[in-house]
Amino acid sequence: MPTRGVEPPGRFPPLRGVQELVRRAQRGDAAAVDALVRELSPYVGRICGAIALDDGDDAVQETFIAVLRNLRSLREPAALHGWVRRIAVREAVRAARRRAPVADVPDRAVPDPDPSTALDVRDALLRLAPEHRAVLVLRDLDGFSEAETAELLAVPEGTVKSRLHRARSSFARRWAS
Amino acid sequence: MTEWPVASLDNVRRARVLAAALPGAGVVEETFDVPFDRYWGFVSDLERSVPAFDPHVRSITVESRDGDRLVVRAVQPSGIRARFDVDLTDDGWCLMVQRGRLFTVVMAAVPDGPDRTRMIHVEAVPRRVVGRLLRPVMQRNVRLDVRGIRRAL
Repeated sequence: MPTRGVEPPGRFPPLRGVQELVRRAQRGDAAAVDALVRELSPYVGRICGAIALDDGDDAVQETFIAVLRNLRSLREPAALHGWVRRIAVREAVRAARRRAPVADVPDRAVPDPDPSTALDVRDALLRLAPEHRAVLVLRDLDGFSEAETAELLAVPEGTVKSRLHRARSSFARRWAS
Repeated sequence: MTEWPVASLDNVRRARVLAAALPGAGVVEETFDVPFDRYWGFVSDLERSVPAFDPHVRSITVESRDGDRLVVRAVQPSGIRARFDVDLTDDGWCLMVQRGRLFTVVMAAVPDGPDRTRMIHVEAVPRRVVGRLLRPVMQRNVRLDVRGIRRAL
C-alpha cells in the first residue's frame, strides 16, 4: 500500500525557519504546528525507523504527540533538535520494547563495519535489543561521539561502549554469514 | 545494498498528532468501504462536499487559489460568514484554519487496500480554556460530519 503523507528520508531542516515555526506553534497556530511536523518528520522517521523497525510509524506518531504537548515548555527554540532527538529515541525504544524481547548476541571481537555497506541492515538490527539499536543509530547513523551518545541516552559511557561493541559484532556476523 | 529502515507519518497519523496539539479537539476515525480516489475526490472538492455533509455550512466558495493552497469563504445557514486558509498540498490531506485562528478543521485519509479508505476528521477551537469547554460540541459536530460524508458517498 502506498504511503500518503510526510515522506522520509531527509536531513535535519535549516534551523532558522524551524525556530520561527516553533514560536508560531507555541502560540497555537495549527498551520505552524503542521509545518513543524512536516519539517521534522524525515529526521524523526530515520531515528524511529532504525530503532523501532516495524513499530517505527507508531514511534514517530508518539514522538510528535509528546513534542507538541510539551512544546510550550521549550524556552529556547534553538534547542529544538536535541530535544526532539531525545524524545524520538525514547519513544522508539519504548515502542520496540512493547514487542517480544530479542535474543542478545554474544560478544565477539570483530572490526567495526561500515553500516552504509550493509547487506541487510534491517535484518541485522532486528537481532539487537532496542537499546543497542539506539546506540548504533546515534553513533553510526548520526555520528555522535560515545560521550554524546551516553548523555543522550542517560547511561554511562562504558555502557555505550559495550552496547556498541555488541551491536557492531552483530552486524559483522551478518556479513560473515 | 539495503538502506537503514525509515519510518513515516501517514496522513491519518499526522492528523492524530495535530489533534493531540489542539485543545478540546473533536476526533472521529473510521474506515469507509470506498476506494481512496473516490473518497478523496469527493471530500477535497470543498465547494461540493462540505455543504453536502456539514449541516452547519450552507455554502463554500473558493475566493482565491495558489496551487493547492486556497482561501475559501464559508457561509452558515444563519448567514454568518467565515474565511479559511486551506492547505490541500498533499493527496489525502486538508487543513482548514479560520482567519483569526478561531476554528480549525483537519480532514485526512489514506488507502486501506484497493477498495477501502481509512479517514479521520478533526475539528477544534484552538484556545486552551474555551477549546476544552467546547470539546463535546466539537465531538458532536465531527460525528455529524462523518455521518454526512457516509451518506453522501
